[in-house]
Order: sequence, then structure tokens, then C-alpha cells
Amino acid sequence: METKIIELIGPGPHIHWGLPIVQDIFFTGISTGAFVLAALVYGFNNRRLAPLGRLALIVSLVSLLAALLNLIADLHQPGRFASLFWRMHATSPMTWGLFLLNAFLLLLVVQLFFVVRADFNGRTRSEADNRAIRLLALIGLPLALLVHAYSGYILGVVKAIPLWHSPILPLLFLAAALVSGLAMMLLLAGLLLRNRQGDLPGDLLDSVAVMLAWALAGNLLLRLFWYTIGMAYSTGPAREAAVLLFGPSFSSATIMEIIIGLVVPLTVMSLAPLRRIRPLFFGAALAATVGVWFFRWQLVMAGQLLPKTGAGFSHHEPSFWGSTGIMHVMGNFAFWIFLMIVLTWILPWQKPQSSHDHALRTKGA
Amino acid sequence: MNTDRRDFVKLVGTGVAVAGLGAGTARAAEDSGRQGPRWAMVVDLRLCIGCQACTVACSVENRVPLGSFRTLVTNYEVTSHGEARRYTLPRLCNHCQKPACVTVCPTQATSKRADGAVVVDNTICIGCGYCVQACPYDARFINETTRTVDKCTFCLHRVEAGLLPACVETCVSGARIFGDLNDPQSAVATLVRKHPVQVLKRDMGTEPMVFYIGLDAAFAGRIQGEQVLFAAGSSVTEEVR
Repeated sequence: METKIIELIGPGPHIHWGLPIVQDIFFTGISTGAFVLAALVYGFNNRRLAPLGRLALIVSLVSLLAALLNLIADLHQPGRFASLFWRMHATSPMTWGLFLLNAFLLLLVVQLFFVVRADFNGRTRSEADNRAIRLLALIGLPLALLVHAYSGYILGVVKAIPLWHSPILPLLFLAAALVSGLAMMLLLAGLLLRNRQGDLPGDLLDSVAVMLAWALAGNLLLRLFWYTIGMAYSTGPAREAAVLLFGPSFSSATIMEIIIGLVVPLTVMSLAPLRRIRPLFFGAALAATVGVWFFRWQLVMAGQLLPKTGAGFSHHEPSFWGSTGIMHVMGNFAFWIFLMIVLTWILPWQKPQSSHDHALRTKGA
Repeated sequence: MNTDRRDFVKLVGTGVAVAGLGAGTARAAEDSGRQGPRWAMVVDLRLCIGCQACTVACSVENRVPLGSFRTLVTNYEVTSHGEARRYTLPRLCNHCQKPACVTVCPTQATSKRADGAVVVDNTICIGCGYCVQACPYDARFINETTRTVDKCTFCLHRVEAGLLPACVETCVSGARIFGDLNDPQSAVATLVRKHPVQVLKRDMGTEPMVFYIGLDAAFAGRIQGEQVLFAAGSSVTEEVR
């Protein structure tokens, strides 16, 4: 006969990382995804994407700044934040991340400086500046990928939490970063970019949409590996994680993340006739972005909802107010929008993207 | 094999053997020469009556904020063959030999002492909670008073004054036994030697220094059972007020 256990007094739910961590991962993902686009423009001279180059750099910088605030806000002793620099611990992924994040932040600021300074000086960009921009883009690309892969790594090393402890997590994070970064760039392009005729730049949107479709397909493939090899065909706690994802968390993990966040946008982005229906196109881009947010939410929270020692599944609903509440998310998005407005107002983000383009335009004119 | 090659193989073999022997001897000398204690606890589940005296004594001794616990006696109803029985399992920091919490701490605020105790320096801790996530035993929490990570210290402030940890001192049935594992005459060393002791979550590879006698395998890891009816700490504030 089967033994039945009821937990009468247990350790209770342990939710220690909440919405600030979700926001941090979401925004570092957008930062990485947007930088990949910028690197294609400045590092690999992709002319078709050129009108998005500066905007992508700004989005990358702003998203990284918004992400970093979450990390500080989530500390219970935020005043000791700087001590991370001199009390570093070589075995802690958090220490590695500190250097990756700061190096990437510095690189973004320097690159943006080189990209816009000629415009402020009223001169054509020098060849030395062009070389510096290209070099920074080529260094920045692996750095951007590492910055976000590290976010997956930091969770992946936690063997106590079966949903997190997977070597595929950094790759899943990168795939999600590409999705959210590219989708966000599509949304911003739709909002801000117009060609000389005042229309939406169709070719440009199509190029990004095809990249987004590949990212979505890669994401789905990695999910398949994760759900099957990592969970269904795994043992013990990892299987329980699958039960949690497809059981109590079905609405957010399956419907929001996979169907609305991946399958629907993939269908729209893959088929040219659907892409031409603009409300559907931008709706799909928004759905992909929201889906990635839910992926971050799901992973951070669901990982903690599976008690390490206790029985059953925990339940958690974020509060409205407070440092870990819904208003924190709203505040963080508001900060991101504020920075976007300030930087797109100050910086000449619609100028020609390179001296080469500038020359072409001048000839054309 | 010609003579030169054979000589070379002999030379390398001898070298490896000497190096290995040397390392082994050095380790043995280090072990035998270790003077300090290695603190450990044995929890004899055959004696625990689940009275929570240890929980209360610990909370009072260490001024643990309401709703948080450095130690807790978890409680289960187990029904098998139509018969129900109560199972109690005291939990605390396992002061692991290979603590996952120490590895991930970004500021080295949490560390393992030479005597085996895993401690948190709350003047350094930034409260990031990474160690809380990494601990497989739910033994750590954020102390909302100090805004840093908190956990069982084996009551080192008492131990270093020649006293027993508060939970051990107060245990009415003598289910908690604390002492120096390096001292072969100590009660913990004797119990560990004479009984087939178990640890929680052995598969985590953390090598806990809290040993259990009579631990049912069903309770050594995550409990496969129904949801908690009473999460420790919930509604405590209301009750006290």
C-alpha cells in the first residue's frame, strides 16, 4: 500500500528573488539582443539594418542601466553594493557578472560616444573613429552575449533548485534575449522610424522580422530539448519541475510563454503576407516581448515555488506596492522610458549610420 | 622495450609513486596534527518528540525575528497500511564540508571556519540572497532586522564559552547531541562511529556535518507529499499580537 505524507509543519514558501530579478534579466536580455543588431551594423557593416544602428545602441545602453538598478534595488543592503568590487570571490558567478556588466556598460558608453561625436563636432566621422567603432562592435558582440549568458549561468549553477540547474539555461537565455531585443527594436522602429516618404521602412522591418523568426525557432527548439531531455526524461526533482510548469503554472508557462510568446509570433514573422498586416505584425512583436517577460517571470518564480525540502508546490502572488511589488516593475519600465526619451532627445540617433552611408546620401542629394 | 625506455618508465613510475606517497603522508600528518575541534551534531530521531523546545530556545537565544527560524522541527502525518503516525524531523544548517552557500557568496561574507562551522559576517553581507538560493536545506533566510542573511551558527558564542548550543541544551529528550568530531571520545564521534548515520540530500554532494540516526529515506530529500497545512511562521505575528 502506498504511503501518504501530509506536511503539518514545514519550512514554508521561500521566495527570495522576485520581480526585481525578473526585470533585471528581462532588460539585460533586451540590451544583449539590441546590441547584436548594433554589432551587425557597426561590426559587420550591414547596410540594410543601418538606420537602426544608433537606436539599437541607445536601447542597449538604456536597458542595461534599467537592469542594473534592479540588481541594486534587490539587495537588502544596497549601501554595500560597491563592496562587491573589493570583496570579490572568484568562485561566485555573481563576481564574474559584476565585471562583465561593468565592462559592457563602459563599452556601450564609449561606442556611443564615437558614433555620435562627429555629429556634435559638425564634421564627417574620421577613419580612426570608424575603426574604433568597428573594433568596439566586434569586442562588444561576444561581451554582450556573455553578459546575458551569465544571467542564465547564475541561475544554472544553483543545484538546489531543479528548474534552474541545467546547462541549457544560458543558451535558452541567449535565445530569449535575441527574441526580446529584436522584437523590442521592431516595436521602436514602428514607433519612431519613417523613411523619406514618411512611411514605415518595410525592407528594414522585414529584415529584422526574419531574424526574429530564426530566434523564435531557435528558442522553440531549445525549449523542446529542455522540456524533454532536461525534464520529462530526467529523474526526480527535474520531473517535478515539469509538473509545475505544465500544471499549476500552465497559464503563464504554456499559454503566455509558448503559444502567445513563441508560436504566434513565429507564424506571423515567418509568413510575408502576415507580416504585411501591420497591426498583426506589431502585435506579434509585442507578444514576443511579453512572452519573454513571462519566461523570465516563470523561471525565476517557478524555480522557487518548488520547495527544496517541503512538500507540494508553493504559491506566490506579488504585492502591488513595495520594493518587490508590481509598482517596482512599473517604476522600472517608467525609468527605461524616461531614459529613452532623454537619450533620443539629446543624441542624433536618426543621422546617417556611417561615413560610407553619409557619402552615398550626399551623392544622392 | 629497450633498456633506455624501460629505465625511463621506471624513473617516471618511481617519481609518481614517491610524489603520491609524499602527498598522502603529508595529508595524514596534517590530519593527525589537527588540534582544533570539528563541530558536528547528531540528531537521534528515535528520541525526538517534536515539542519544538529547540525551535523556541534557538529563537530566543539568537533573537531570531518572528516568522523566521534558524532551526525548526518539521512535522508530518504519515499514513501507511491504513495507520497514521507522526514523523518529526528537526532541521538546521548542516554546516556542510562542501557548502554550496560559501561557493556562491560574492563578497565572501559567508565562510567556513577551521572548526567546521559555516558562518555569515553580517557586517559584510550585502543581502543578495544568492546563498539562500544555493542552500539545498532551506537553512538560510534574510533577517529583516539586520537586512542580511541569517542562519544557525551552532551557537558558537555559547560553544566558545564552554556551553552547549541552545537547542541541544534545551532538548527534553536528548535527541540533539553536539560535540567535536575530531575527539574520538566525544558523544558525537561515538554515535557516528557506532550507528549507521544518515544525512539529508546526500546527492547534493555537500557532505553535511549534521547526522541523523533513524532517518527514513522518504524524508532525506524533498518530501513527496501533500501541501503544507501550516507553514512555519505564517500567522505567527497575528497570534502574538
